[in-house]
Amino acid sequence: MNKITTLALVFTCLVMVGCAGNPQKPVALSQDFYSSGDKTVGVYVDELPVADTHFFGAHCLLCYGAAAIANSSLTSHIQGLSTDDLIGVDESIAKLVSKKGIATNIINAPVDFEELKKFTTQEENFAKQDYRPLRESLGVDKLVVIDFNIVGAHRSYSGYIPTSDPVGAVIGKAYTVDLATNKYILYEEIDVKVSTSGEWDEPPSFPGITNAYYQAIEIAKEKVTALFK
Amino acid sequence: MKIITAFVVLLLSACAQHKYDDYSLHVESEHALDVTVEKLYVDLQINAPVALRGVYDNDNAIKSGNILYDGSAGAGGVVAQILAHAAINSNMKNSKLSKRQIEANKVLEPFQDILKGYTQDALIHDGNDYRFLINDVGNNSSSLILDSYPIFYISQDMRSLILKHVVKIYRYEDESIVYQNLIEVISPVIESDDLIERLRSEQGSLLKNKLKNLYKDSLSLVISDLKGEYKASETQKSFRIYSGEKMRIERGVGVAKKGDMTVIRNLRGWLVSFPYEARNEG
Repeated sequence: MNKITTLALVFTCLVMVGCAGNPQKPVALSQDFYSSGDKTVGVYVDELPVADTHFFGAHCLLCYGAAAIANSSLTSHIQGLSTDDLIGVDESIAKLVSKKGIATNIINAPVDFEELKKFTTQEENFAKQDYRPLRESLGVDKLVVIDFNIVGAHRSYSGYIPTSDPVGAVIGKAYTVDLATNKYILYEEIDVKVSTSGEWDEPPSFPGITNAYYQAIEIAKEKVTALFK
Repeated sequence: MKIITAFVVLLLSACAQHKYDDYSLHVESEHALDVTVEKLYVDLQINAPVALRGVYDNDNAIKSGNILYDGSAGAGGVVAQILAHAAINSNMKNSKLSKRQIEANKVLEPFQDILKGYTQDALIHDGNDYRFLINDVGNNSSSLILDSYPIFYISQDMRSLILKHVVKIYRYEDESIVYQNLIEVISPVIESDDLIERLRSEQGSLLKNKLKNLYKDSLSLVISDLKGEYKASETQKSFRIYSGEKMRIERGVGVAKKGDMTVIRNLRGWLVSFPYEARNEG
């Protein structure tokens, strides 16, 4: 085996090891979340993404390009939709938590999670970044984070061919970290997809898929707040 | 080759749509129409069976593995393979929807005997602003014809009845369309410990009366819309609508409150009437 082959093999192995991290399993809200009355809970909603279309399964570059062209008018429409209906989730959660006698603090200033250092442990259900410094900087003991990373329309593909009609979609995660231990005391993926009622291909205003979009937003909000009930 | 492929995909995306009969484009009348019982005729296929279906979930997403196209067949061959792939997927999607509808219709099994011979003439009633077209309109060439296509649904928990009424109004003299819409009316929740028994009682008279009332209500909504009574003044928002225990969101604007019913105009321009409940506000 020559040097180049060996290097290529090592590099491939390294990349694959990097990809092989276990996804975080769901963690139901810990029972003691509401029993620690003297702690302050921070509630933070990460920056909302711009509404857009997403094509899953159009793996090759040409397939994705074809999908993007075929759905271009839908994309233009979806990109013009507001995500404002997602605003206020933090207030709803804070209200629910406050009702149980826990002090809450809505965090409005942006938090850059990318800047947090890596956190390594062999134990399960710990955040992969070190959230503990946020305890002092944000002045809270536990941090609820709502992170919507996809808002818009989702369409599945098999190569060039669509395998579904576009659906309204809100995808992300909701989690709570104990800032004393860096442990997740809640972790849930949010994956809401809503089919259009009847026809979907109604350019230029796409009312069916727009309705599904707003329905996905409402369901996502309800799912997130239900975690704290 | 790339251009041909993109072109084929574009074509496919346009032609692979499932056709729904409970759907209508909204055509708004340009100005309020003068509707009177002398002028407006409702054309209902009186001998056709009443269409009653189970509410079904219309998610048609299918699982399809990745596919490799054989490049040795040349550009034409690859295009043919893509077309075949698309045709298979389209069939699978439509077949999934059909299966869901058949599955959903099982909710009607306890009522098969009482629905036998139940035809649309049972929906005929006296209206203040319209009459049913039994023979023809006679010498009245300024008449308006309301083409009526009602489809009823029952929720899977049987607690709610829904009408989706496709309506098209045209001038008798030149067949020009003056109004077209879909009117959806959702019944108040039917309360009973034994819903099958209740809906079946007296040869299904309760069920049939409720369906007829939904039909009457839908025509009343059409008349109000024709008279220009449903002008949107509120801002657009998301309404929570319950059919039995199943909730859906409808984005639209509130246009009226009729008794315990709220009427909204959704993003398609359709009118949706549903019983007001505190939980509608979320």
